[in-house]
Amino acid sequence: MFGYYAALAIRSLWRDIALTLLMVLTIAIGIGASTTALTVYHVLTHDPYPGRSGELYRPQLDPRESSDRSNASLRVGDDEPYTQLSWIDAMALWHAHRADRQAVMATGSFRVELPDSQVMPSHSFGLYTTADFFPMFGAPFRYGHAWSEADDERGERVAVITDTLNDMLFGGADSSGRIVVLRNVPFRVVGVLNHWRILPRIYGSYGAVEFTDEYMAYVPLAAAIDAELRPAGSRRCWTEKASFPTDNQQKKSAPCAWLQMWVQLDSAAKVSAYRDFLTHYSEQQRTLGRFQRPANIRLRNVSQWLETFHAVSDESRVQVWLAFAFLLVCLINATGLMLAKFMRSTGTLGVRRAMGASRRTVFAQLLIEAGMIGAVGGLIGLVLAYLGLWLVRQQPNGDIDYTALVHMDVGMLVVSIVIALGSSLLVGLLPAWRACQVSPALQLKTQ
Amino acid sequence: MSAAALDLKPILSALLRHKVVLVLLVLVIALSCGVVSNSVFLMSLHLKRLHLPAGFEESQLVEIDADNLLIPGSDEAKRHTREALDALRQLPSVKDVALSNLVPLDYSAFFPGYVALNEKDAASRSGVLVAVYGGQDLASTLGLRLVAGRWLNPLGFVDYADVFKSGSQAAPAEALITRALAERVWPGENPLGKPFYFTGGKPPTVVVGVVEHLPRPVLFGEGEEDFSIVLPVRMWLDDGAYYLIRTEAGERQRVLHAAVDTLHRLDPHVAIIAQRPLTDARAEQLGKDLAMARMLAGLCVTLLLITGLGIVGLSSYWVQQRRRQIGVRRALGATRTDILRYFMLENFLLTSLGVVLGMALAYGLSMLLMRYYELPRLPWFYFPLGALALWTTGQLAVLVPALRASTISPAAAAAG
Repeated sequence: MFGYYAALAIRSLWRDIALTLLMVLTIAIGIGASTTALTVYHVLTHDPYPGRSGELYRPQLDPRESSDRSNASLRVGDDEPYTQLSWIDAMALWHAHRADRQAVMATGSFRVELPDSQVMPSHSFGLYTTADFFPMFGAPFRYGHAWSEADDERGERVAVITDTLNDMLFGGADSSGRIVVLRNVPFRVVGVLNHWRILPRIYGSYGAVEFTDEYMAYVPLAAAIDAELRPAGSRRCWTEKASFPTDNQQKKSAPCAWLQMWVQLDSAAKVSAYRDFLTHYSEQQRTLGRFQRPANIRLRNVSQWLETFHAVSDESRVQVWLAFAFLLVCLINATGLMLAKFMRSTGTLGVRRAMGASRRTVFAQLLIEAGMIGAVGGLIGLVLAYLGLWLVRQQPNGDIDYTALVHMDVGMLVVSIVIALGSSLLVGLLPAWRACQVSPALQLKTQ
Repeated sequence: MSAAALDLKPILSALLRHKVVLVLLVLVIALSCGVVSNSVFLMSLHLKRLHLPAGFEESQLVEIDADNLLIPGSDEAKRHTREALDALRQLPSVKDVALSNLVPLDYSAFFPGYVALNEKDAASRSGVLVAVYGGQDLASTLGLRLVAGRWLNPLGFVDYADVFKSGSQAAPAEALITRALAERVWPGENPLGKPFYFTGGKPPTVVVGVVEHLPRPVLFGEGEEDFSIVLPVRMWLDDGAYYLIRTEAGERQRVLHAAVDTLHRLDPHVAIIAQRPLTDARAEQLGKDLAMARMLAGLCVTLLLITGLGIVGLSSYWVQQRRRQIGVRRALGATRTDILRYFMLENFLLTSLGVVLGMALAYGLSMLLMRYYELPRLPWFYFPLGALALWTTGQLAVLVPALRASTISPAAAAAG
């Protein structure tokens, strides 16, 4: 029966080929635009650390002077504490070991060369951090391993480098034990990462959420500071006259926030205990006279962090809204056209009804016709979406370099197909129902 | 007029017989109108940023960010700075060289300050957020344009580190500010000679000159892109300064190569962090605006096209449905023009209905965008603009079926 209906549908569609093409095109463009926008949005909102992000928390303290209003003019508002910590606070929280794991970090900017190399050194970004960073964020190793907490404590000059840097300096060979020179100081490679390019990055110093170039090397924070490697990115000093010292040793006592910290807390009880710990610490610092404000702490997990600091620019949200308004226009338009198409064939339908076809069979046949248009339109729409994504990848994107990541994954493909099928059936429903309402007798009479 | 008025009654009764199609068509027009007027407005915001006036010789400038591993505050750092600047000035085609703490329109660094009118506001950092520029020969190298007052006194320059190091009480005696900033801080007043505080705990600085434009490195804040001040401070390479080199537009790549070679010759261990023409920096920062503007333009055109094609399709159906009636009217003496006018008028009425709904929708959409995305309110003239776009689309789209209708012969009245 389905085959017969399909044959009827094809014949009917062929009769009004112009109208059919118009409907297919309308649906295709609508689906293409909306799935493109949705995919871009999906890439920007996806969880960068699936399975872990619920357990990773970002502690924030508020060391600002009571009169400080510098945040008031910013989007986050006056009540929001700094996202970064000072050396004193970060080290106090790190040494306290109140979380299951804890890592302190700062983005580094340094030149990289080999000890005996005559070529001009290249400049790279990297991360100064502590041992727990690697297991917390699930960094995969190709060669070697991470450094240990004992290395952190001793300020051991070791480094974990990315496969990109390893390819560049060592031609991709296992470089464990080899020496790289960072800003004139030799560091011994202990591990090489295996293709780890996860964005957005949430532990950098340039912003709460970063989409910048890859970090090339990771070195222990204590060793980096000791070797006068420079931290890069943003920093906030909270007393009037303070500015960020150039000398690394002075940075340790400066009233400036320039370090990030993430902690891993495996249960709700631990989260609440850690929150109490932060409040307690903050109040203690106030008693000591270091902090002025009453405890104003934050402890956000990864998704709350991304939500707060707008991993997704408003623009891409607006784009999704616009794209779906666009899809709506296309669908209503297609509905109107399909209604016209079906009403045009009420004569034939009247004959079929008069010959004994039930209202339900006629309705089913019309739905098949609508479904065919929708399926073809949806298919072309997906092709258009791939084309749209290709176009997005060609666009320069300034500070947010996510465009290279914009691809349709399996999940998005399924969502797109569901949207395409759902909307085509939706488009067919009303016209098919209307066409069935026409009484056969009346139709035959007007013929 | 009278002919048109006569048309109205049959139009309305004909329309009311096809309520569903009518509702769908009006909905499409309304949605299009709402989306198009908001999209065109969003597009204008992006274009405005793209065409932000630089106020300096953007096309003649290149920047170099180099890391020399100099010991902060050392004599060697000062010696190397002088050597490097001298060597760069000797290069052919180089007109001017400056060391600057910031590069305008290059978002890679931003040194914020707060311009406040009293010390208390400066201390609580609640003044106007500005970019603080500094560096010897900066104004001349950039080619800033003075609109009032005078340039900074070359003898009054102090070391950058002395002003900005921890606990420093020193502040430069004078500063240049941009016209936009002067308007914000002292609206309607002459800013020359006015004191201000750019950070707490320091004596005030006096405005001695107003420059036409000087954008902040990072563009944000509608109407605040130009909020900058220039201080008479001297940079040394160990302060993390950028070289700015002015040359001829056609010489930029050659000068960049020569300059990097020179820096490498002076210090074989120098690492070049960045080197590019300043126009590249703007393109990098604003490339997204261009992309967004293009995307929105594409969206509007496609939307109007889809709406137009929809009108063509539905009107054709309508004409076909009414073949016999049209034949009857023709037989009764209606001319081809009458029929044409009938369908044009019908479309105009439908579109107008859609446009009225569409304007309400545009307003609603704009409210939502304002509320959730902090976008400015949709200016009033975008409403008639959207209406005009839809009326034009409608009339153009209906022309084809209407012309076809006008060719229906009176004999169609008799046909089955």
